[in-house]
Amino acid sequence: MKILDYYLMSINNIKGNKKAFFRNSVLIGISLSILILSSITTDSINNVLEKNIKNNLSYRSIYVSNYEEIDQKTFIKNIEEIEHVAKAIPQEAYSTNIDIDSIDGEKLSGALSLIGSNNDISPQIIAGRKIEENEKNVCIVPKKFQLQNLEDSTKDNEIIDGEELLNKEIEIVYYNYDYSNEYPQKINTIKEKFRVVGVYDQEINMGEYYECYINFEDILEIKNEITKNSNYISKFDPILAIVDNSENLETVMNSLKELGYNVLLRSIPNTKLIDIIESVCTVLSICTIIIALSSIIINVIKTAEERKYELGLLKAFGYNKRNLWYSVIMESVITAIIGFILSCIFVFLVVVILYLVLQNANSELRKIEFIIEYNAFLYSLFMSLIISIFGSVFASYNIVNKATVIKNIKK
Amino acid sequence: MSYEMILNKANKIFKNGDKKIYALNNVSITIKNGLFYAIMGHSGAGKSTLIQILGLLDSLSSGELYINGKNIQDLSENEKSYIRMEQIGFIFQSFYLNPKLKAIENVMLPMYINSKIKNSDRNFKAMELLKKFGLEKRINHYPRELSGGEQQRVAIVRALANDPNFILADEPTGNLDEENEEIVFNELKKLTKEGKTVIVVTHNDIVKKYADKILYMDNGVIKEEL
Repeated sequence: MKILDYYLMSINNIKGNKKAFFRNSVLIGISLSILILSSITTDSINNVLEKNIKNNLSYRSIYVSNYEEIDQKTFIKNIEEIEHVAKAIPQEAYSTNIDIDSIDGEKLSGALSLIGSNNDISPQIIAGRKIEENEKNVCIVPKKFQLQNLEDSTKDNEIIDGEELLNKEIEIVYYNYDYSNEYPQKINTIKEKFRVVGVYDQEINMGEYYECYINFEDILEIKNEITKNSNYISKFDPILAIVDNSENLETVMNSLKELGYNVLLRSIPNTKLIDIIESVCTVLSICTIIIALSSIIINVIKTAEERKYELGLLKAFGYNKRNLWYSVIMESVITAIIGFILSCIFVFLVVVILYLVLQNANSELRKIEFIIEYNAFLYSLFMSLIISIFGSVFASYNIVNKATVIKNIKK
Repeated sequence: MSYEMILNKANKIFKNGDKKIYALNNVSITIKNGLFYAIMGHSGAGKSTLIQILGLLDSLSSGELYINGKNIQDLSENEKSYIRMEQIGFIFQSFYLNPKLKAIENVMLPMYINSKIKNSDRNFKAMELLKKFGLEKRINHYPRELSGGEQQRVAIVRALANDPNFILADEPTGNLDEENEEIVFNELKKLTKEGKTVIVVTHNDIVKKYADKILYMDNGVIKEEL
């Protein structure tokens, strides 16, 4: 008996047991869909998180404090000597919020967030170049550039294409304050121009539309200028250690601790929700697989009485055990493949609907990119075959293997 | 080649606690080619056991069974399955047609394991057989759409699917009216004219009109052979 014969016979049997076949295929389809969707959900969320950590400076920055009498320069030098530390900076050199005066000569009102950068510590550039070491008054802007807190919301609220700003100048404005009175008084207005040398993708970087990068030294100078009349001095202010790669965070943290420093991550990605989603997806997948498996076994056992005499008859016609097993297994394989195809269709529809929903959602949700791991499909096809074959073999074992022809055909 | 079945000093014993029940008691018969055999007797006489033994659906407790010269006791389960497929066709009292398959699909079921019938020929052969038995208009009907007589004729066609030499029928007219009883026995008689051997277990006296040999059984023993 050839495979084609088993196939034809199975198709015949399936035709005769349409309801059970449909029920089993749908059950397998649903459980596999949940399995594949779980994989897509967790992979997509992990992808967002990974981008967050890898590309965003904040997630690879560590506050390092030291309460011993040691000057800041030595402290910074000590930290920079640690392997995987790309740069150590006073915390005020990390970033500052600043008002904007004009872009390419056109007066605008709004604010920017300026973040420190250099050739080693830079967002991924999509046009132009990075900021060189000691290069002053240059900046990198987001691809979709939009000022914060705009007063005139009609024109200025538009998103500017960052690439169009390349080689143009952005003018910022900040002030000196007199801190001698009860409330600080503006005493001097300082304007400073920055030439746009690079553009980054704020979505890949998980950044905001108003985040620009300038040299660390520039940030420090702006901060010093703003606070120069203030009497505030703290030699115990923490230093920010920026790690070369988020994967090395743990190693650097341990090295800093070994040196006796107090360490604290600047930002901790909230993975709790992701962990919960992952656990829920896993539990859901396992539950549906168990439900599918038990339902298939229950269904097959339920119809076993009918099949008992069918298989008994086949034995009477001369079918041997091998013929019967192959035919049972062939039916299971067909059920599994149909279940798998149903799950693919269902997953495709869900992904398309979700994609359309996310495209029309807010900017944060638009950052989610569907990661479809094709191994998940192979894995689910394998699972589907296992569930179906195991279910059928388990339920048919006694009928095929043990019962005699007479026992089987006597209703 | 002469097709025959030989049962020699055959015993089939069932145990009920410590008590032994002889369903077949030292039975010796020779079933010859091309004849219509009727096995008759009251309930519990051992008729059905005899037909199950001859059809290799059950095995002997002792004694020998030869089919076309082969000692069945020496054969494996797979070899017995092969002989069932090639040499024996079964007809049952309750027809045992698969209710979810059409007449033609029921007839094709035994053909799948017969490598001598090509895939492409199955359908044609099943159709030809159904036509031969006057069922050409019932080819695509499900068993529930057929009368009792038609269902039993489909079952006869199915028994002939692999062109066996022996047709074993266990009370084939038990569920039929008189008119259909005659039709079925008539069809079975026709088969013997084609060289097939028909063995029928029945209570029905009408069979005497058709049978070439009648075996009366009582308590597992063949009492009389006519």
